[in-house]
Amino acid sequence: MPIQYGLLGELITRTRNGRLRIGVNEPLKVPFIFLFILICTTFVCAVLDMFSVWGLYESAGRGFTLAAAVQMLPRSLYDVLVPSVVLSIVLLGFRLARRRFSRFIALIIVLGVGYIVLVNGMLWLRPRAGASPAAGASPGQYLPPSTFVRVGESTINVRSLTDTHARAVLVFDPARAGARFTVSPEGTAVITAGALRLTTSGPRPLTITGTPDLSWTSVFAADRFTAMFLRDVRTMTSDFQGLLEISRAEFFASSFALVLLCTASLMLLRITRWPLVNIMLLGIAVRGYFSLYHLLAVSFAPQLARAVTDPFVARMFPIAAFAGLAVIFLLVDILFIPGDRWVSEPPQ
Amino acid sequence: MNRSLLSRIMPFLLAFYALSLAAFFIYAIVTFSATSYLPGLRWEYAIKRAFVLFMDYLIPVHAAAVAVAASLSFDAGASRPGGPARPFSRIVSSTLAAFLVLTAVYTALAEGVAPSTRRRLADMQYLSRVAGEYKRQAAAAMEGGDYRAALDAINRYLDVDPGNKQMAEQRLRAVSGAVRQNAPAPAMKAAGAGSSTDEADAQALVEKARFYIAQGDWFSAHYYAQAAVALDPRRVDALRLSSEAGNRIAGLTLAEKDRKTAQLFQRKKDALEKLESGDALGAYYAFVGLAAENPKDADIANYLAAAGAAVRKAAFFLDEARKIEMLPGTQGILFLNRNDAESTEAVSVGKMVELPGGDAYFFDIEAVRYDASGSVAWHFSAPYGRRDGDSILMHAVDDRDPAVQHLPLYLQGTRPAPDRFVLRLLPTVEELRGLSSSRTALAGMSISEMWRLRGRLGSYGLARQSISVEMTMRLVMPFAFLILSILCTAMGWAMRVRGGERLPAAGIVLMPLLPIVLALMSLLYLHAHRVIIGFTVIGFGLTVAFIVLAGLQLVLLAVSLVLLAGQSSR
Repeated sequence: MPIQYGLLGELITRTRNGRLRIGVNEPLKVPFIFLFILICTTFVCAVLDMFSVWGLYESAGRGFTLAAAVQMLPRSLYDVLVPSVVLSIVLLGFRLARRRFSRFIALIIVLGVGYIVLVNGMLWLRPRAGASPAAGASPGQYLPPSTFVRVGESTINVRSLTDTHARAVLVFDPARAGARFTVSPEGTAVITAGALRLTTSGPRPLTITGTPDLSWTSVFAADRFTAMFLRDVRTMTSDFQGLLEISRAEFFASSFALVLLCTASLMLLRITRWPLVNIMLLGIAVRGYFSLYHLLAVSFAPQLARAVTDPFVARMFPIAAFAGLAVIFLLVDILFIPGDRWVSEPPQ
Repeated sequence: MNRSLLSRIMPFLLAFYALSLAAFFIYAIVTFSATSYLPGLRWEYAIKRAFVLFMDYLIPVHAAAVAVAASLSFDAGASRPGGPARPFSRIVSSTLAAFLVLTAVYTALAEGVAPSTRRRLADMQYLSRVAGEYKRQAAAAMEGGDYRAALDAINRYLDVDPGNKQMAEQRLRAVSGAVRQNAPAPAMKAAGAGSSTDEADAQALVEKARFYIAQGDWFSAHYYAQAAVALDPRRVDALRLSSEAGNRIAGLTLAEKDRKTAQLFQRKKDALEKLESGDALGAYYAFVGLAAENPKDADIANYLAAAGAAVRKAAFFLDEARKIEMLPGTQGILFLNRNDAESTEAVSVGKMVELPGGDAYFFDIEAVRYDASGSVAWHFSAPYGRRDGDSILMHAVDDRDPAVQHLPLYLQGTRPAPDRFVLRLLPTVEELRGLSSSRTALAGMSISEMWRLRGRLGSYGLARQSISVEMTMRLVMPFAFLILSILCTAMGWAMRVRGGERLPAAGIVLMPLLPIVLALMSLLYLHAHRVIIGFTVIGFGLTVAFIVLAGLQLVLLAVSLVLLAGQSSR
């Protein structure tokens, strides 16, 4: 029996006993599957973000209650939406790599859904995230009494801490010649931009500044590679949030360029006859985009800002590079990659 | 049992394991730092570092091997080429059993071998640092013409790095320099401590015999000459000296012999009085002198042993401590020895070496006690210490030279005489091992040790939650290994090569990317676990964390099995 499609693209076949079987065509399913993946990914990422933010910055001050979670959730959603959209496109790739699909329909669907969710999500979440208190650690978070905490090369222990006032401060500096322990009657601990600054009083006053060593003091320490990934994600997220504050037009353009690049990268799913390699290539490409963005935004954009007078150029430079890369990928897809290499799986 | 998928996966696993081990070995060789480690430790470092890296990245390597093998299983679904496809459950059953076995092996390696390897790596670094310091001391002493100190430093260096030819040559120069200085102590050192070559020892003994002949002490000269002959029978000069001393002894008049016997008796009596009056150290040195001159005297040997035992009750020998310092141990121990309403006592130990029988030596000790207002009661540092019951003795003495002693140096305040050289320890040796500030401290502990010590370690100043999370994460690893194995089998199977049974050339070129991507994915997977466990431990305690962890692993295992079962065998 010839394959028939309904008005909405649904696949109509007939079973052996003559009954009609109506299957939904893949292009109709994909937007919903993408949305489902996106919601799940965003939720999981937001919950993990919320857990780590609470553990890192707030656990010494308040317990984790439902009210606290509700209060924190919008900010976490706001912070993870950009990487969630990108991650969802990669996860969708696992399905697209196995299904017969038109490359242009895939491009339009993923680009459209991804862009709409990203832009509207950020616009909707921004005021709600602003209502949530920003995460910020108190000195008590970093200096629990009678516990050794490493800051830079030194290790600190305070007997008691009230607000920013520490009593009986012990500092151990292993690199110091002679006595490595120093005891001071009092000290003042303040947190500035995530860094702890402890100033002790007494005959030998000391000032110790640095970020408490998370791998030693915190339970949320990421390994080296994950830490780099999270750093790159934070750079991109904060830049997008900054663009949303400064100019909506720039934010819209940036969001479009990011989603376009990720969507254009779906061509990697057809680059060889080996779907596993293709999906891994897509994964590594997307990981590379975060690193590339960090490199462009942190290293090259400031240099560019010194060379050009218009801050707009420097601000949009990383995202312009993304857009250029996306166009190249689209051209490579159209010119060099066969459209029928999608899949050879027999129709179910 | 169907072995088609398993027989496809196993060669890939072995190949990926071997390649990754080789890659890590090359990486370890290339990144070997001659400033951090002794050059002589290069190969041991490379092997151990490669193994540690292999264990760190075994999960992604294993996952990549499984995924690649499953994705290249062109014919695994059929019993014969072109034959009908078999049920998928039969295809993967043996593979699942193999995964369970591999998970058990992984757990055994991760919990059994990897912690001790990490400890050894940390120790090699410490020993290299110590050896570097000895080398520097030796060079400075040689330059300053203090050959005795140079020889001492070189001997200690050669204990760590015995194969270093340059230092062995330098030692010979130091020995001859020390002999030229005509000082008895270096010659004795050269004769006794840490000799690297027999020739050098025999030479030192001959020089010693010459020294005593010059002093007119024929008994001692005869003893050392005989010792040199015993060590190297070819030494004609030693034989000549022995003969000369023997002749001199035989030529002594009866009166001279009587006088010497009376002198010996008086010296023995004096030394014994010292021992009986409680001056164990004085008695020990007196008997050491007597024993050197009268090595065959049974009384002296017995009293020397008794004096040595008495010394060990309040002190210990420096040479022993220095030799033990070269053994593997725990570095950078920092803890609160006491922390109550009145005062806090903080202790730092550079290195602790445990010996069989519960004995332990401590090196580079510093301790301070202060009250709630931050006022220091006392603060001292001591280079050496030995465990004695629940205390550290910090009085180190030389076994030959009464002038050499190491005692705690009080930087602030002091303590009453009976306690001045002793520090009472609250943690046990096992607990001290877990109190190392080194990053490898927790990695070097087994799960059972962490479980046993987690409550007490918190009271010594270690962040209690970090121990709980580390322990729980270690419990997660075997589950992660198994779950990712199953997930990667499903993923590889679902993404088999299409359009023929030939691997695309581009795929072969790009294959090394697979472990990299899977490493990133598996590290994210583990980090997500860490966040969940950390949150649960901090917010709700370890018991709840265990329950959450068990539930999570159950769900993930079920999901991975469902995904695997959902694969088509066609």
